[in-house]
Amino acid sequence: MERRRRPSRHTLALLDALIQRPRAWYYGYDLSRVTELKSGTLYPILMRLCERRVLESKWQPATQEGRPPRHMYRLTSAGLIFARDSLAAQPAGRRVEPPGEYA
Amino acid sequence: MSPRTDLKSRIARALAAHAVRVAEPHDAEWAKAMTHEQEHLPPAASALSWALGCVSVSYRGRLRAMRLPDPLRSVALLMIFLLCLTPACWNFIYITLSTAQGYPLSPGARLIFGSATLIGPIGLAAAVWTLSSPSHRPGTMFMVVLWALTAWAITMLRLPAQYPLLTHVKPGTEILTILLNFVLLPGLGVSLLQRLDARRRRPAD
Repeated sequence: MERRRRPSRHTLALLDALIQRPRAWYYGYDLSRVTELKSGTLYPILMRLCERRVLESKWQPATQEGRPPRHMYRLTSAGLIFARDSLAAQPAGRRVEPPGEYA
Repeated sequence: MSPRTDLKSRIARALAAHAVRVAEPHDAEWAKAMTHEQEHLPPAASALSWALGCVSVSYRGRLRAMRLPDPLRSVALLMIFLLCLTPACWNFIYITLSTAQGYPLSPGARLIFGSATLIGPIGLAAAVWTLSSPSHRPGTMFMVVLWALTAWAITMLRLPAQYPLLTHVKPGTEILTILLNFVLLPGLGVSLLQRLDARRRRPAD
């Protein structure tokens, strides 16, 4: 049986950011800014969540010439349920504060 | 763009390229995703900090992919670690006891001897812990040692500089300590990492 650990504080912050607009695609930098997670913390979480099919990703061609394409992320349908459950299971004192602004 | 900003940006790009190079094949797309994102950061964001994160993710992925050798080789490695780390452990105890008894140490000596000799007990505990259990990952061990040593070195630096130079150490001890801790042990660590990295690349494993 697959062992499921409780999501970490950082994972919850990321899920909380993503769930604000569940069908929207986010860039890595936007998620890093909103959650205040450094790239070294954020990307391993994104990798893990994509592997578990909580998130889906896609490449988007750059709008400016000479820039490389960007990776984007959003919650899958199963991921949305997982995010809601995980955030709801949080003790009241440990709720993630909703960030003020999203990209 | 100022020369300082330009230099920072060049270092960040070099680090990003390095992150892509060292990433596991399995994580190659992710390394690309991180480093491409770096090219889209707004000017106010620190590309250098972002790039350091990319390097850290790539190295952690690579360390995670390493496999420990079979039990017999593990025992041999453990014996080598014991042989190398025991003098460092003894050195650590000796210096700790000497300092506790009031023998003086300069801040520089505290930094060098403190951080160097601490490799002994931490390294020994980490080696035994990692090698005795195949489920423990070598990456975790190296991270623990690295962070513990950094914390120790910072603590040593921040202690009040009230002691003069260490005076009771026998002649030659400093050289031996430096050779052991800064040449032999890192050499052993690097060769162990290379060995584990080579095992990772074998398709049969």
